[in-house]
Amino acid sequence: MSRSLKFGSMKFVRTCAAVSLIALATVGCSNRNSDDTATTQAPATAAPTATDAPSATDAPVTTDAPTGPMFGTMASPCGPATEAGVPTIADGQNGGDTIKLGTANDHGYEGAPGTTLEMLDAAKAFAGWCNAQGGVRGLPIEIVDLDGKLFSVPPSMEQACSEVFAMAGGGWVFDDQMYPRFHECGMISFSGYAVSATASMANGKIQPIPNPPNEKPAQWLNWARDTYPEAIKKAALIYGDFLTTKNVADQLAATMKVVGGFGEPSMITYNPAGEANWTPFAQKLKSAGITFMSFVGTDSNLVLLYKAMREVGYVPDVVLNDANFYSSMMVAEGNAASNEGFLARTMYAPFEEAEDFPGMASYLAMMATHNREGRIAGLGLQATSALLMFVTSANACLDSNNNVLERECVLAEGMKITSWTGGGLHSETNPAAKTAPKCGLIMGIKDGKWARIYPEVGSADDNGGGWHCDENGAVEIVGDFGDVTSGVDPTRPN
Amino acid sequence: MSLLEIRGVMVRFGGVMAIGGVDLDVQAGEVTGLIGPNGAGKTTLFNVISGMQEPTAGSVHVSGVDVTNEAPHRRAKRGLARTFQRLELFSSLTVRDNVRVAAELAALTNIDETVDNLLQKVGVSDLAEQTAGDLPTGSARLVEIARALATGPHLLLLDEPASGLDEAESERLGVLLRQLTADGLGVLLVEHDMSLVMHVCDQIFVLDLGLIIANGTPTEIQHDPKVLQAYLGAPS
Amino acid sequence: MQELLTFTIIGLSTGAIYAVVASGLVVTYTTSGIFNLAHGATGMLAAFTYWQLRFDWNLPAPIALFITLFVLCPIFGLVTERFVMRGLQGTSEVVKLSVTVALFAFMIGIANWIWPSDSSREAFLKFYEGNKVSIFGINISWHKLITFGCAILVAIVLRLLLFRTRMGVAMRAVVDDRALTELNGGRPDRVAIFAWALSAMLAGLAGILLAGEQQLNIEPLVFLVINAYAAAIIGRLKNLPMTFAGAAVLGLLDAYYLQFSDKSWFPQSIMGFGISGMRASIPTIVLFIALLALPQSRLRAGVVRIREQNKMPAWNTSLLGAVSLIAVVVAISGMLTRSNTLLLLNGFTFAIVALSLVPLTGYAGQMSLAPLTFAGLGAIAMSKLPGDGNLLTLIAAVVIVALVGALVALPAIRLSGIYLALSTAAFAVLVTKLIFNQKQTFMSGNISVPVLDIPFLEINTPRGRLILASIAFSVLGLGVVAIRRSRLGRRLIALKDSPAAAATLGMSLTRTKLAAFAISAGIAACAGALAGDKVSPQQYDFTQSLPIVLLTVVGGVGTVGGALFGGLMLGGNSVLATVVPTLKNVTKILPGTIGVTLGRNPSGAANQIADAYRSLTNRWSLLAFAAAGAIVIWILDAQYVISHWAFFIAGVFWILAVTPNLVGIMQATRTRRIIASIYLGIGVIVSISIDWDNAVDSTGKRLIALILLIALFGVGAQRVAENAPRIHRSSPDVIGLTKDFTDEELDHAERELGVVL
Repeated sequence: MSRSLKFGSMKFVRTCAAVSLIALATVGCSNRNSDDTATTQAPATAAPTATDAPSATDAPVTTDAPTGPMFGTMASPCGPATEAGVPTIADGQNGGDTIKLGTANDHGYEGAPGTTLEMLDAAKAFAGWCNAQGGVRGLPIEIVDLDGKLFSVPPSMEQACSEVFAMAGGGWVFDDQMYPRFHECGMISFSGYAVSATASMANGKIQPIPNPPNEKPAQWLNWARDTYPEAIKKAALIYGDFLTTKNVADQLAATMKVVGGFGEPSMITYNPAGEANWTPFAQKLKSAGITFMSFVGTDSNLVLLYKAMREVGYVPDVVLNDANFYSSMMVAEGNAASNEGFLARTMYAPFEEAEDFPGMASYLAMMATHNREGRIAGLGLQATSALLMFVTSANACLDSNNNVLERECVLAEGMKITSWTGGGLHSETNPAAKTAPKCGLIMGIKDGKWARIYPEVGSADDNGGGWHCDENGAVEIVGDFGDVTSGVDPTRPN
Repeated sequence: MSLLEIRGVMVRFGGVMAIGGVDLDVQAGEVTGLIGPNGAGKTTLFNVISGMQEPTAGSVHVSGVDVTNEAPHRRAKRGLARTFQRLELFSSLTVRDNVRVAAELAALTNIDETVDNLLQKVGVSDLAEQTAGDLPTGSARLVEIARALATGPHLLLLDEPASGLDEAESERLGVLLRQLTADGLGVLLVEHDMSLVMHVCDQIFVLDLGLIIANGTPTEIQHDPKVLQAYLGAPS
Repeated sequence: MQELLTFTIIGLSTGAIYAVVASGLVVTYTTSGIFNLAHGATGMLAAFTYWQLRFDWNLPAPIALFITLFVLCPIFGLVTERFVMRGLQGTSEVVKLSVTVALFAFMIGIANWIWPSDSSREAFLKFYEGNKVSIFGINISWHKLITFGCAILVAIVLRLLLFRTRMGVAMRAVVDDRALTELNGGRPDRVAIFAWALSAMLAGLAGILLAGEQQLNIEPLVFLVINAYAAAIIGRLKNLPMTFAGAAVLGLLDAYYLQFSDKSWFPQSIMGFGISGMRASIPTIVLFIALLALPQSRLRAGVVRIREQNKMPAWNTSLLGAVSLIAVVVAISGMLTRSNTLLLLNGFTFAIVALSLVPLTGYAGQMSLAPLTFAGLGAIAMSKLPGDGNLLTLIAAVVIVALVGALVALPAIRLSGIYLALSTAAFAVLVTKLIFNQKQTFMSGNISVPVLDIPFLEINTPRGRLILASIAFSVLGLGVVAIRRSRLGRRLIALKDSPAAAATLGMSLTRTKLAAFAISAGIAACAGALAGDKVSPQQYDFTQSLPIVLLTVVGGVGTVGGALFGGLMLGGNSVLATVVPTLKNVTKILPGTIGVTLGRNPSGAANQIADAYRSLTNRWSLLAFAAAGAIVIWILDAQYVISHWAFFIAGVFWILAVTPNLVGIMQATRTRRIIASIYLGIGVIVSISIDWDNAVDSTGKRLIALILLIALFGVGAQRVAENAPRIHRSSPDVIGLTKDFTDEELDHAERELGVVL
């Protein structure tokens, strides 16, 4: 057994080296968290809901910065202090010299990093834009990142309770887990989106585009029924095998039933953790002669399915999807050719039409100026819309409450909003009534790019400022799609 | 009726015939030796007897009962116990606990007393609280024997119990074995230590290449030319 | 008919993918004896690396491929063997498996660190854009053909390599008996390196092929490989042709299921339970069946030669420990913020799950990868049974889940080692996919587990639940200690130490294993049943079980203390990531890195510390010194010379870093003694003199600093003091010795003998 000193000191040196490396690594190694202009990658396990927005295309970036007092078609609610002075925040509501707004998101989830990062990015840009004008009547906004990482919603909710004045502009995939803590600490939320039925129907919050579980936007399906009456008779829904996705798929099937004209859809599941081979699915669609297909899951999987369909040589006549598929991944280099003809709905201003939609132009300018590296995507629009609602409601509260910001007061003002477009970011909605939006727009992939399919601008169907709005644009569906009561706290005024 | 009766046992591993048809008897109150060069198949035979190896053919009877298809733990209930060529102590347990486990499995009354007695009988009382894994080989072997005895067996299979023992210990082992047989136990002993074997055994079987080539008293075996040839590999 | 043919060819193309993956697994096992759970993760890293070279740095494809497969992969294999696997000689199957789990976690963490988001990875899909070929009227892409080709090529090359070359034979020999190979002139180290390099290359090939068709994302790449385990098991982990056949079967079943799933005769639900998860579960079901069809592992002697040693816990210490734990928790819970309380509660829940592994894996040596699944079942039982959370409901839930545990174990009982571990994994995956994923079980994504309702006790606050959790852990811990000291405990240990001896002494191995599984399931069920909150199925996913198993083994799976250590470490790791975002990346690889060091002390860290303390008990002077130091620190705090945080940090440093090193230092040579003492001295001075309250702004950062202090100075001092491998106490070579040789004595002996080099 050799115990020469040389052997010993090699080990010694190695240990020192290893230990120092650990030390070094912990110091200042945070440059890895670079944001990028990536598209939305909704988590493989998450359900896209009706309000999941599309991700961006490579939209034209307008270079003129937003001039003072406008956001799209609405006057900017931000500004310097009025004669009443800089507002204060009620005691015990995490006040201070800034308004701390917590933006919920799940970007830290390791299985799908960057999930809904666009909401946080939009919130940060919004804060920059708003504070440049003075903030909320002189009181600056500070954004707090409430990263739920998909499975850590309760600790994030704790963080919110102890750190923020209000939650704004965000949402968690597993948002039912924030109750009842949310109510216990008297939090309010101007949510970017809601996923579960519990969160959708909860009180203590408001969102610019409501998505009640039993009322679904149907305008896109109406259009399909009217435009392709034959093709929709052989329908299939392909969805990820996960409870939340299943729920959404069931809701979609129920909506199709109410809209009428659709054949009973074949319900086919895929493994959200990853499919080894998408060819069997493509072959299945071919063998069964499916002519209408809708996909409930993530765009990265749909892209693979499309490739398989091209390989097999069969694509259903109509592939029509919900809003989260209006994304840049669908038209990315290498995908666009195979995804030709794909259709998706949106109730946002199209990214491609920023010149015609001042709201979109303002959003893009805001991101370019205040968060250049931030991700541009549909949920970012929803976040911005929610934040605009918050500031608008905050102003109204300050007017009636002696220049003191107080949670229930701000929320009560928000609850009075029955018509909202976020400065033209999206079609008109009624947040207070918690009804599903009745307007919509269909985009499609043509020649490798997203293009507007319906309604044609200026045509008779364009009755909503670029969207088509219809009494039947939202329908009620019957079914148990989740617990709608446990998010409601009857002791709260709003 | 023999305590242990093996008839026509054959064990084949793939193309290799490890045991080619063995008949063997062990009587109660006797020490029966099983010797042979390395690779003869002695441990395999033990495995067959104790139930760890299924024979390709043949039968094993313990006290007249056919145990050929019984699982090892059932054979133990019939009064069979063994030690192992490479120590199989419960190395995380103390010596006392090793023996206790066996006593508890046999559902004895007065477990503590029995354990103490056995430890003393075998000569390892002072090691009772030591962790079995820390023991030197010689003591460990003795503990294994004590543990096997704790089940109150009628038939004891010992696989090279003297390996690792010095002369004095080996002699003490021999004395212990004679004591046990005096109490009525039957012992089947695999050993390489020839002096121990010749002193202690009442009869000896010689196994070579899977077959019994000789059996008889120690004196007979010592003079058997076939045995010498098997060990030395040349005509004597 | 045409349709059947079409789906058959499609199924075979899926099978080709599985075949490449599975053959890599089989080769690893036959050449190293270790079932590498991290095989898929290796493939994933290779795919990412290929992407990096080819699409981010724009190297031409052949060069990128060459570098990845023939340079980087073998290097990775070499590093793995040299620094991780080699140290696992003589450890139990459990430790070996845990280390591969650690590697798995480590690699996923690294991948998330280096390639944090996924945007531009889409570019990978351009791999074989559009090119396809028509066979029997079915279009098959070039990519699939290449995969087929690779599969066949791999099969041929491996066959030739393993049976016709010297290296191949040597690789197979090393697994059989490393020492013997060495004695016969083989070079097992070199052979082992080659074997691991080969495995890494195969994994890399599989990863790149898979990624070419899938998303370049961690989950799919890794879990597709897990599906391939079924094919490997069908091949009994040694028979390549059977493995290929198995892969084909998997692919075909998958395709046919899809073909027939909407026919009228195909069942859409079984007993009211939807079967949507069935198709994705096919590989797991096949795995389960293949495992059960394995021939019973023969009872063999000489199988277990382990290095882990755990002392029998004494009642006094255990009771003291239990009571102090509760007392400490009650004391500090009043001072913690609400969110820290909840995080600590999380840690204790994990600790209870970890505790469930102690009787099963620690005592009985049966490896289970599914403790969380039983916790999930416990949560479901508690929530669905009548009684709304009273004590009887809890007991009923525990009993029911324990019975389920035994039932599940029954078919798997005949298996051992890796096969048993895989069957627990298969069970966990099936329960997750087929039971947790049902609407009936988890309505709209989660269920509420009622808080335990003990009359007169207000448990509904976070502090109350934390105290309850600590009480539960203590009570269950005492129960586990009681088991260890009982007849059952001895049998469990007998089962682990020598199943052959136990059986031949009359022990029914089956019954003992069943008992172990039942107890383990029951304890884990407690963890779930006491959740007292909303829980979602993802919490109990099989992949969440892996870190728990890993960290428990690291902490020391043979002791209650080890379970506590492991559970709190896991809870703490999540805390770290939340509290100190800059460390987020480090925490991704922390469990993996820690686990990988198991080779040094297979009994776990808690054991190591306990050992060090035990060695102090005979050395009064050192004990006095340790106590004196602690008292001095306390006085400094009481007299306000140092701040509270300095007291805390210096105190913990003294307890965890200085005291355990005292004996080692005293035994070292003079120079080393001085250096090590200086090291420790600096550590103490640093911990006392930094103004922790003000210079560092958050608790999380302070904790990090503390850990760094311990790592740098404490472990550093230990390494300095101990410069040579100690003679292991259990070696028969130290007959007659009552204490270890000190380094001075060894030095002296060598000089006398003239062997100084």
